[in-house]
Amino acid sequence: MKPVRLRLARIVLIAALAAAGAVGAQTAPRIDVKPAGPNWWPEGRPFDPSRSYSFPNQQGQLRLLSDAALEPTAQLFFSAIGANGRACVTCHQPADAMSLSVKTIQDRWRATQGADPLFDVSDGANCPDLPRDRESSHSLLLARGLFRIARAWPGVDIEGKPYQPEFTIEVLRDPTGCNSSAAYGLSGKTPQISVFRRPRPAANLRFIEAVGFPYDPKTGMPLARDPQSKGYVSEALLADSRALTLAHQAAEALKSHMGFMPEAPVELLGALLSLERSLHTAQSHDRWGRSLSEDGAKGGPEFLAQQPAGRLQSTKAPIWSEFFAWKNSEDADPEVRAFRRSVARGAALFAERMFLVKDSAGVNDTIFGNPVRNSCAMCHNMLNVGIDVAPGRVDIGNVNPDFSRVDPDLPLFRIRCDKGAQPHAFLGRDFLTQDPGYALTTGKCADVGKIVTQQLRGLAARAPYFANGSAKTLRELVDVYDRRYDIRFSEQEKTDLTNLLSVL
Amino acid sequence: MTRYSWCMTWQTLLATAIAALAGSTGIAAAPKTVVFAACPIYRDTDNGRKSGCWLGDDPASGLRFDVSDASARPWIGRLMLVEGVEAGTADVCGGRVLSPVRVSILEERCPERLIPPEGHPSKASLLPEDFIKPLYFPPRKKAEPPFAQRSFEVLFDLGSAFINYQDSDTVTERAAHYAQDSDARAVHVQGFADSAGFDLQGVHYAESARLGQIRAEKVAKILIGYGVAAQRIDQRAQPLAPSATPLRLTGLRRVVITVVP
Repeated sequence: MKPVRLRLARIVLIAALAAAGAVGAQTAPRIDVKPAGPNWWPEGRPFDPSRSYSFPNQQGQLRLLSDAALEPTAQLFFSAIGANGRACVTCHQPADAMSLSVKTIQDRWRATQGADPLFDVSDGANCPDLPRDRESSHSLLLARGLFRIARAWPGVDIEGKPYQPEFTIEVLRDPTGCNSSAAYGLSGKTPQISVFRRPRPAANLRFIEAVGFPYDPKTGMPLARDPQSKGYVSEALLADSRALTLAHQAAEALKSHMGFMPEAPVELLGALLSLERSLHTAQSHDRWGRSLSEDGAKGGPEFLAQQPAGRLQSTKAPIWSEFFAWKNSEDADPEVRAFRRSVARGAALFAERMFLVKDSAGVNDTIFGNPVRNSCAMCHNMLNVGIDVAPGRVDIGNVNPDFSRVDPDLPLFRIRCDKGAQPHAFLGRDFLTQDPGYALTTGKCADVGKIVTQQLRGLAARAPYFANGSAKTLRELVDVYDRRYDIRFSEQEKTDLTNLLSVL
Repeated sequence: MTRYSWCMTWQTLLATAIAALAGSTGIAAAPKTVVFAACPIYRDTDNGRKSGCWLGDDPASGLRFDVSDASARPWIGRLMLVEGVEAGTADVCGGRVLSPVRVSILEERCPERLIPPEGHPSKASLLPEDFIKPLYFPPRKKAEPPFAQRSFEVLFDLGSAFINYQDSDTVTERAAHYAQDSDARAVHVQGFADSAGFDLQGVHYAESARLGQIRAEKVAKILIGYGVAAQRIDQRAQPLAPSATPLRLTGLRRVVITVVP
């Protein structure tokens, strides 16, 4: 690093620390978040890593803890260091499992009428050229919790190398106006495509960064490597695998979501990463099931924080065995007992209930065949968190019509693949999508619509679900899979799976 | 349609009679290799994950074969090219078992055929003996000197440069480990494609000669991904070479990695 840049970095750090009042945070008086009070974590509120935080939600209570002694600079995660007034915590709220629920977004709108940095138009509006103070400018954020992700087109791959795209993109419908915009659209001077996605949780990242195997069976290649550490990377940080490392992700987020300087200093990135890597979050209590870590169950973040990361589930070590002990719950309260038994059934169903996975690019166009009989755990297979160890970049059918219904709120693109390119396995060479997904990182026609699986922890605190926020509730999420793969879950199975997902 | 059914019945009976004769006289019949293109049939048996049966009818013999042991499974709705050796093992899917067997997915569309179990049990999906170990397993035992020159053969599906899971992937990993353990002076990567091709059921199947080079580049990239020094790897393309595997046609579509310690 050049001396000038180093000095700049130190200045930024000191200024930010002063603004946050974070120096000496270890000795600052504890701030208790009252269960009945507002959950919003404002920019600048110090975080005490020596304690855990609990937050009520509709389903019960979520808990967040840090398992490391942090340097004071780690407080920068909570400091408004962005040029737009945002902190990382603005969009990664502790009460929302370090993501951001649509309910929280709506509450902030009502409280601030758009003045909150959350509503910065750069990505918090349907397009940056819309007026900030109008509710309609933020319709996708307010209704679905979706932020605008602008990707250069053609772009760069996970290692930052430009690729030669195998397909063209035509904007067929543009409800936000952004993809047709002269300044921000595909025909602009610096062509870019805007897609709209939910923020991923900035917690339990030890698992998300973990590499189980050096080889990805779905691409037939070894995983990419971090040029710094030389180690393999999980390729699972973001929906389209565009971030090679967590440092890369943080630097990009600082720039694109916070309007930070062109290049974030390494000291700042190190501080942010140390905080993020130390955080574990999970639902800890349920309104029906009560404590999730009693009666033999091992829910909550404390158990999670002790588990090794990157382990593949198997018949000998099935996923969600944390809740198997509730199978024979004998709690005196019949409602508690019934709920706990339902969660245990859901946990077993997750890995045992077989169905035919069919026509899903990323699964069925690989060596597994089309169809393949398997369970939810085929893709959600990492013990304790449910992300794919592989990594999983799969088109489950919620961005590419005809597998999904065309969503009128989202842009619609026409993809035309080059003659020599490998076509999309199930849609051919000329088809529609509402988010090209992983193909924006590879330029490959066959990857259009593939989205990286995500962790399943803290779901009750961060509705809506799927990368495009298309399922408002956990029950809707279960119904989507039921319809997509014609699983024909019974009502009881749907309830059991929904209950399981609500306690993770 | 009627004539086809008659042929199938006649040929099935003949094959059964020959098999019975061989069995009754104690003559061990040589393993028979079959090659055919057919629309795959998925039999929806449930014996746990990945336990469905994959079947295909050989139009020449009318026999139904079980191709479930292929490293890359078929896609219903897409024609498949099958090359396999009759294993003579128990029929659990409703077809004569082919093993080893290679299935290639072809471009041609087919009617989707998904049939019920009809009493067939299938078999549970088992982890093969050789598979890529997770990084959290204990460290592998490194190869020890003396090191000799070794070759590794990576096989491919027709028209493809994809490295199949729990099949060719283990070969590339073994080669990379051996190159690293022996601190190889050179690693030669030779790619082959079946550019001459073959005729089957009135269709000529052939690969572009350039595919051999693409396969070699892919394997070289994988070796580098595993940590083999790029400057020690050289790639060459060969249009055709004799097959060294029981599957003659599959053997024409390969990459040979030669590690020179």
